[in-house]
Amino acid sequence: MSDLLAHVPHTRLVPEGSYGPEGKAGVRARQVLGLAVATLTARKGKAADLARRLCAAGLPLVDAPKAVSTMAFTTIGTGPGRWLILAEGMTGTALLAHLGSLAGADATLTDQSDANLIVEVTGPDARATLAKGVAVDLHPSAFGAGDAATTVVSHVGVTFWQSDAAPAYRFMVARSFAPAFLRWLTASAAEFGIALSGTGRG
Amino acid sequence: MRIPCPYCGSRDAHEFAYLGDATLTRPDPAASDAAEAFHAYAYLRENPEGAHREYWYHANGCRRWLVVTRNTRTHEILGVAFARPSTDEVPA
Repeated sequence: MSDLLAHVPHTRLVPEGSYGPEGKAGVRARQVLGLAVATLTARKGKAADLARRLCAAGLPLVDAPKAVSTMAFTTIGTGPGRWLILAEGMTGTALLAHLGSLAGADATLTDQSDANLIVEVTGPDARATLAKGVAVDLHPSAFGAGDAATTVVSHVGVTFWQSDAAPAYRFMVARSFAPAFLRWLTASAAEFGIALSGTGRG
Repeated sequence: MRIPCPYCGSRDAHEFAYLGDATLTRPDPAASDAAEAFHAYAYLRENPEGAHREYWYHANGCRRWLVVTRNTRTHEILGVAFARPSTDEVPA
């Protein structure tokens, strides 16, 4: 790799700013803050019933790698009978209490609000950048708004989903792996120019 | 090589961990020939040419065990299913 990130300690998030050719920002990335996150796993044999009940209560659960959003929640399928639930403007404790009251004994819940970094990637060159490390077909005919995937990017496990057709992608990365992920993203997007925000000044 | 995971879709083989032969059955430990049967179960493997049923774990995806039927000469994937059929299908 070039000396693009030579000044950034490997243990720190890549600081906010512009990287690559001056005046170009083919890619924009920002850390998304203020989301409560929980995992919800159906007990054996309970997934169908649980999904039906929670859908009726306004929490859409689809047993597939899909991201479904309502006003209050986004649910993301990460495996059969397993979902990530994201909520804005709510604490993790409140989200867990809400999900617990809906799911009862049919699911196990874990607060993951402090476990991950969520990075939104947009811009005209977002797809060309992601093609360098995401081994999932992101062509609009294969992966569109509402599709999600749990996979590996540059040896780092991620769950990501396309949040709109622009396209905008949101990547969820385990917090301690976030510096490595951001280094990969910054280096991969540098040829297009990348404007990174929300990661602090390093 | 790419493996079509029943949940995740087509994925690169490096997301999976390989266990091996999916046709073996754990022997009866109470049988009189249990020692020999367990030796064969644990250590002896065929090396078939062509279609082979084998376990793959989707460690970096949906974290489910799969039974994959793979052509050992061409790496063509002939079939994939969850190792433990789910009773949790959600109706569309």
